[in-house]
Amino acid sequence: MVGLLPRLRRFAYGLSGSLDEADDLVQSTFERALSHIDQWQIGTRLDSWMYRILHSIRINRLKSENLRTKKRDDSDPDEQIGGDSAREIEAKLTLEAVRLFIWKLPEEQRAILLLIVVEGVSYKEASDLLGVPIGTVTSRLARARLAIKDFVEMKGTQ
Amino acid sequence: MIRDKVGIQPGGVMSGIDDITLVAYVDGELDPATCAEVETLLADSEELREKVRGLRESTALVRAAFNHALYGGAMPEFDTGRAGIVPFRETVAESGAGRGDRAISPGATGKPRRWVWRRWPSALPLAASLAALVIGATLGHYFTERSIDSELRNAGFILSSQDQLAIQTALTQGLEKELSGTRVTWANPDTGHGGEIVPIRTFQAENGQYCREFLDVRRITGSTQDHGGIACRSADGVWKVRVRYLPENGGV
Repeated sequence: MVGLLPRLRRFAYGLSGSLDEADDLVQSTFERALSHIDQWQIGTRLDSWMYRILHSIRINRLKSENLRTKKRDDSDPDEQIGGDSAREIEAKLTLEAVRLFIWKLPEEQRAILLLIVVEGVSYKEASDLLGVPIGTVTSRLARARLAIKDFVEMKGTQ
Repeated sequence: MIRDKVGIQPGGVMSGIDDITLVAYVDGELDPATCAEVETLLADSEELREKVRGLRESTALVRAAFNHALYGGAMPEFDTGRAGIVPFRETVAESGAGRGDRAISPGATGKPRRWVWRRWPSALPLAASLAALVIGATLGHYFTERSIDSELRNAGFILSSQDQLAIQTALTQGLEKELSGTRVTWANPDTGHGGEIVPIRTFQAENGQYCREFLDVRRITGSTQDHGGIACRSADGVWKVRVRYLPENGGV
């Protein structure tokens, strides 16, 4: 189970846009997984199950956070684009630009994108895991992917 | 696999494939029949091929974009006491401490970064075995300058001579002038390639030469390759790379 930690952290980071938040999500995910381990069906994939737990914790937090404020956690200095010198911005990775773009996508598109593209989950698994119909998965995924493609190409021609 | 949900739309030749099908094609999620249909259409349309290429390229970027989160992070608390678990948090400063170098200041901003060099498990033994390297022994997965270049070429990292010059310049500057932990970036607008050189630590070899271990990160058309190396400074001030090595897990 601990072997899943890096991938869970990556998923959490992709969802939340902050490494601190990611660590927190992972911690909660492990706590919940261990206390509900009886609910995991042997023979099913442990990683999918844990992605699901993590995602639902994330969604619940978003809901309660939305009740309070719409503030977004940009506290990780590594991820801020502002405040850098022009030279540094120029040297910034395309990867960073891609991350920032993905964090601006709607949460539902982002979750699907991360699961399928980054975590390598199949369409079917993603549909089960997120509890959305496969048609929704494919259309949201396509929307996100086309948007990113256009963004990357636009950056490339600048 | 998702044949009931997506499909080739009848109609215009150009818009013959909807985006969902095309994305599913790129992901290898189409059943063989639909896949064959897509490939037939692709063969006829430069525009479609271009779109697939763009999708593939941006997908590769997305795939790599969050990978640094794989390294680092706290272990779940209830696991910290368990035997056999390697702690994930290991910073540059820790691995460089007490090696005769100044405290490493990670990143140009001076803010503490959670850079994690867990991918470089060979770093410490490497410095220790430098004596062996200096007399010219080649070990395990270490590479000479030439062979790492062919390694990288095999992996699709083809550099123009300008790229190579830019890397060499960054390397010389980084080794000669910068504190360990400082990134020296290079970029070639013509090829779109770029990367950085980061000196990691400094030490004196047995023959009295000063040597520095460094990271060499290259970002080439959307993928990243990083490797480490050691360079030593000759009496006339020329930095010569003695050895390059790939991370044990084969890179990012």
